[in-house]
Amino acid sequence: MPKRKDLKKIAIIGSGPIVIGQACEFDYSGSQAAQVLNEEGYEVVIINPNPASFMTSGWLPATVYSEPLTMDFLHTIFKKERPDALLATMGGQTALNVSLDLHRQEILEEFGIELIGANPEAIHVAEDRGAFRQLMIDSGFEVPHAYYAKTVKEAHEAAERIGFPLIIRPSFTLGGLGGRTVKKSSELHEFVREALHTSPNQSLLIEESLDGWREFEMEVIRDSKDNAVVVCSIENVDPMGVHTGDSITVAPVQTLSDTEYQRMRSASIEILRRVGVDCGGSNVQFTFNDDCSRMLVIEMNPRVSRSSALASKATGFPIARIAARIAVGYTLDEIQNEMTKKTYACFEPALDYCVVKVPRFDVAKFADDSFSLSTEMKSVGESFAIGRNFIEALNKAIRSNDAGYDGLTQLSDKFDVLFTKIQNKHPMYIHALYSLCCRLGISAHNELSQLSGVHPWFLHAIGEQATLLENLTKKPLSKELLYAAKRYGISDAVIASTCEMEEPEVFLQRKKQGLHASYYVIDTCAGEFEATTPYYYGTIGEHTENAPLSEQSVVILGSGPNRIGQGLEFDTSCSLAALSLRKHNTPVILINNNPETVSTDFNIADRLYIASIDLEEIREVLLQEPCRGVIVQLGGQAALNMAPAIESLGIPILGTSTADIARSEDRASFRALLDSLFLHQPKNSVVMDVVDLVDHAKAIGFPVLLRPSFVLGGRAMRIAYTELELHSYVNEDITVSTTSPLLIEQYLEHAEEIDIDVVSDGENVYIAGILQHIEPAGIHSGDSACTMPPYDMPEDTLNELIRVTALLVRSLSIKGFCNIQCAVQDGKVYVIEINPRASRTVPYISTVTGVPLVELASRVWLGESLADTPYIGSDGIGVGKSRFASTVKEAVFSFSRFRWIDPVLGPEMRSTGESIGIGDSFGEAFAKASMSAGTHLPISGRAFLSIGEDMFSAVFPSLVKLHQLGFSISTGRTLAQMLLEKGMLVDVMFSSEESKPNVLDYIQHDRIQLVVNLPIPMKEHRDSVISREALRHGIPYITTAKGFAAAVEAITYLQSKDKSVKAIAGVS
Amino acid sequence: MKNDSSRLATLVLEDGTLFSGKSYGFHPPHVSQLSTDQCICAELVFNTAMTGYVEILSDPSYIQQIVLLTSAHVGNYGVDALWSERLFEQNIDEIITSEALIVHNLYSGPIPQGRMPLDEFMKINKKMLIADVDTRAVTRHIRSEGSQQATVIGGSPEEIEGKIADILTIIKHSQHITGSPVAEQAGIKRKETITPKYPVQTPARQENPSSKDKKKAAPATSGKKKKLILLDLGAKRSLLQLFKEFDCIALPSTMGAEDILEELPDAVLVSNGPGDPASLKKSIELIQELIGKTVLFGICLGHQLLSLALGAKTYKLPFGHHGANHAVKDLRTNRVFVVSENHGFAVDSSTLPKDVHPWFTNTSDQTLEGIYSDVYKVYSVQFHPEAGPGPHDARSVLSHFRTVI
Repeated sequence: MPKRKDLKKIAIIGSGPIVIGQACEFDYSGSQAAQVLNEEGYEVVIINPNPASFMTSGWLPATVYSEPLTMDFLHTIFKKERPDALLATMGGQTALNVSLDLHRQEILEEFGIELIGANPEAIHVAEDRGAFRQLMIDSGFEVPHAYYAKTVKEAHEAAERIGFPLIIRPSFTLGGLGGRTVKKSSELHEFVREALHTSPNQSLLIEESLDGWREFEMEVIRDSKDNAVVVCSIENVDPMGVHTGDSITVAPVQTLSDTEYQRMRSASIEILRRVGVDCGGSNVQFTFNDDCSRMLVIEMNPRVSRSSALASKATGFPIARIAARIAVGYTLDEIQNEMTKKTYACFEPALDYCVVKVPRFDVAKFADDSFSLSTEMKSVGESFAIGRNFIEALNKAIRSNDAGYDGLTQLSDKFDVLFTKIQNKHPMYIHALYSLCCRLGISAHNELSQLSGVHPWFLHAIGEQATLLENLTKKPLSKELLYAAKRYGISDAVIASTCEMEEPEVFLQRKKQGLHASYYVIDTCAGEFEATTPYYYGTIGEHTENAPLSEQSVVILGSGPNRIGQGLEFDTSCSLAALSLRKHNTPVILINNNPETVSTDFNIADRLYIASIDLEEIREVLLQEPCRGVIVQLGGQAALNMAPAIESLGIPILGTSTADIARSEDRASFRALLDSLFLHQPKNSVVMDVVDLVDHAKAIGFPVLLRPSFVLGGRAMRIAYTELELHSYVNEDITVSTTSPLLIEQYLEHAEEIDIDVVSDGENVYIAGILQHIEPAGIHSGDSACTMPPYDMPEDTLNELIRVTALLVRSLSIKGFCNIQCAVQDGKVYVIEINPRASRTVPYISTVTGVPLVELASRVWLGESLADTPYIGSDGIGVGKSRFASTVKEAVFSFSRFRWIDPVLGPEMRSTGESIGIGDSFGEAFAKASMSAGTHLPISGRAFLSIGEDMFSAVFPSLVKLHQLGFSISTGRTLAQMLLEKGMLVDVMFSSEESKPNVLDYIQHDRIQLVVNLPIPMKEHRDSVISREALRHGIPYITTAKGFAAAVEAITYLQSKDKSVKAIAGVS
Repeated sequence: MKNDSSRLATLVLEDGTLFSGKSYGFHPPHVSQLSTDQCICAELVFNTAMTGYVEILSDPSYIQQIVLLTSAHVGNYGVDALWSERLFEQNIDEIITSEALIVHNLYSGPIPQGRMPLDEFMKINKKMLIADVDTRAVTRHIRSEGSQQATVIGGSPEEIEGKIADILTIIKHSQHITGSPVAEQAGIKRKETITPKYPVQTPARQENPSSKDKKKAAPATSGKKKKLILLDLGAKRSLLQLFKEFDCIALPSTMGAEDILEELPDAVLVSNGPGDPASLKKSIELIQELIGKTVLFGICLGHQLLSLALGAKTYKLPFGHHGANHAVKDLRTNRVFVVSENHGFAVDSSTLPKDVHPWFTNTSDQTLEGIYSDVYKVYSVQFHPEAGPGPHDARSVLSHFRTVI
């Protein structure tokens, strides 16, 4: 069927900010869909309040809104744009839920908007666990024994019938949020209450536990003529009980016979048919018991998903693009696969390689050894690798994960710890399993498989590496052993340390034997046809399939897996740079390993290499591809750190020189630079030995900020107010030595923090944006809400910031991007640090100013001067202007995944994503940003305040205003008395330590609508239970005075009726 | 991947290209003891299916072929004789029909109880299994140079080089697939009644037959069973599963037409099988005598023979279709199906006579994948709706077969 002519304009809803369970994959799918719909001649409207996304970057030919995804704002947008259809399946669970709400509230009907991609009935059936189960049973499929519960009582009855352990899963939640295994009846009551609260429709499923069963996923596409293909089959290495997002997975399925596989394949297609998905893609999950006598259907998602992003990259079948075409009427046989240009979408991919995905955890930030994986997703990102065997792909994917493991790694843990890790499914269980294979040998495989639930096939593969490594230790490094090790994807470094050699020696030996990476095309057809797909994976010792691209090409190092502190923003910059450079006739090679992202899409760079961002793999690519230089500024700290090593290979670094990068990053030389420029810096010193720490701290004066050097996202940073806190910090497993020194810094209390992003050619300085943080200095900049233009910054401070920036940037000859962090205390500007690379805020500032910053930087990298651009004044300086009266970027957290964590902000970054709010006033912008971040500020009700006496004057004006807005105020006794003295009578509420009913009871009974809980300098006094409890009950909580002030302004806006919207990019 | 009992082996192609590997099954003759009668020469074909190696190895269509599987790992789940595609039960050491198996990574770890490791299965069947081969390079070579005759010789490529001229001569003089009437030997020798025991398979409900189809199909199961004759040229067991509700007898293709018609069949199914269809002169003549006298179905080789019998021509494809992922389009409904394919020859659609219509085409290269003729009552497909291995999506073809009887 040809495309539909009755549609002119189609809206796409994005997934909003990045949270655990919903990351870059929906920016990728949304962007693909927008491109395709545009190619098909439709007008496209994108709605996504995520300032870091490619979707909203303005590159796509679409009208873009970054407004909250709530009914009132969507209503306003629809009224203005009048789309004919809404494509609901590209924005993850968020978009699906929002679309279903729009349907139920008859907003779609009001404007005559048709839901395309999936119909409301199909969405409902797939998402409502009860309805889905019934449909599966009616269709003759087996499902886990389970009962549906809407009350605690029903849950107990169900548990009685099923027995323990069992699993509870709330309906309609992201990434399995709220799902968990209940081992004994005493836990049931509490877990059920929470789960009921988590579910938007207060319902949940009580299910038999399938611990140890094998888990599979099928990615299926079906069209209106009942044509269907299975794009990819995926097998989880870990068994049921671990959320798929947290699982190490492999494609294609490895352990099923044809009979078993075809049974699952046919079932997956039949399930789409039964559910009614007839114009799009879905993901169906199955589980098999040990002897495959039972195949159960677990769930299906009637939309593109994280798995479909992986499947697209793994197979060369761009699911979102094809799903978008099907949504507007095409059938599979009419759609050519644009990646291969040889096959049609009805040709099912065949793989002659293994693809392995490894989740990225920021465990160090969240918890310890006892951390265990469950049905609720906890990973923040993922990396993937492709190899000609499973172990090769696994080792490379682990390396690409950039989490400190060079492939499968032997842990030094004791036996009992290793056993605990494999039984509890610790995030690093795979290394524990490998360690046990190494220590116990093949005879233990059976037992290890039983304990871990990992199928013997995988265990055998892991065991083979253990055997190989043992052979490496015994024998001299023969050609055959080296070849075997490289075929397993073992790095030169690991071979070197195993054979007691130096890494360069291994490389030389490899070179002598011609054991270099060969690059294979990802062709969807296992070599059957010649494909034009421009992307490759490397493997050792076989025939390479491509000639070098061009000596004029530029190589961009991507940012790898999402992690806290490095995510979508960097990927968006990488994609925009590739596209900008190509626009300027420069061939682009991109190296990355994140399966979720836009940058690893097939049409972003001229050539894409799936590889780890480490010297060994980058060097192999560079040996293959002569180029004019490498861009290291876009991939975050890991890419930047590679600059000297790449330069030592004789390949130029484009942009700021490695010497200047080092000068800006080395504390001592940077301080010398600041001194020579007469710029201020908080007092600081570098500690090489723990014993000196206290002396240094006393010399600087408390409070002090402590941070290890060269860290990402402020990991392990801490503020210490006392000597005691200093000691407790050092005791927490922080190594301080000459090779890993600790920076100790004067902590500027109550200072304003400023972020400045710059593009420069070394002489001309374009200050793209000056962002004022709403939270004070000391809160990690990535966790702080910030605003542009600054909302209360005196003119002369701004001028001073411009002067300081220009001076620094020119002195460091910055070519390309840099980001400067300053603190302003009593009008005095302190330079905290400079990062000679693109920052997280580049996409946000581009949105706010409408200036394509990445393109500007790209021109600098190509050697152009910024003087010729309209952005630079006669003094060689330009300053970006906001296109809007006010904008706010708000950090988005996934605290709800980590119940035990006190959601207080500090110098260590914890946010996973960000939202944007745009408005005519600061209040409007902040209100929208908060809403999009998932914080729905109340417009009436009761606020509870817990603050230290020293914060009283900072908070009082906001408190008065909140009172005037009609809120009831409750506080502890001391604060109430202070307020009474100011003439304000408030309710007194017991603190959590006092007798009941206290504040916790009020929170539990929804009698409090807003919690303001400020940390008190002597931190023990802070009532962290309150914040945790508020978090659990979804009540907005505020932990800073400025955040409180901003919230009060936002509430003022929310009480007004105005709900205007602004397009941030449009098709002219 | 490493095994002490392994021996170096080299895959030698007719054009002199060598690929190294290691022998894990029945060992090939070593280069130092070369003799013509010990060299197994056959056509080298690659199959891109990711599962189903047992089904592939036991499919009689692979007689006189060396099969290369492109999948990264092979042998993962062991061997169960239940998966055999041989029409009648065979001893486990007589199941394999193809001449040799070439793979990249051979799995040698634990497998479910009751199953046999793949290398052992190859060994007891006296068939060669060569692993650690750069199968992708071989595949790309065949893709660009076309399918070729090949053999496997013990020894490294360096050792082979010295004897290459001799080996190539042996290959050159070996029986090639083009012109080979091997199918006449592949089927049964005498009449057999079929009461197959099938492995328990509960595939999902097949595609929605329209209510009209249901009505038509119903009598086949309720009243007296219809009679189907399988003309066996090397039939796969899965074929019969499609005709469960018929009384089925298998006859060799050497039977006379009268003998066949004497059985009063409601339909005759010409089976799949190995080799070059155009060389099967007797079978073509036989079919010509049957046309018009009964309903004729054909699958794979059967489809080619029916086409030839009707006057169409066949030709050799550059490297054939062997896999479980090709899509074919039903030209009558415009629906597409993902199907299992295994053929080196194809029917030239431009040579189809009047009243014979293209039924299916391959969506990748537009080659003919099926014909139908209500005039001649001939219905045949090039692909394998019976799967074994591969997707079950196109089983509707069979319900169509049932409706025309």
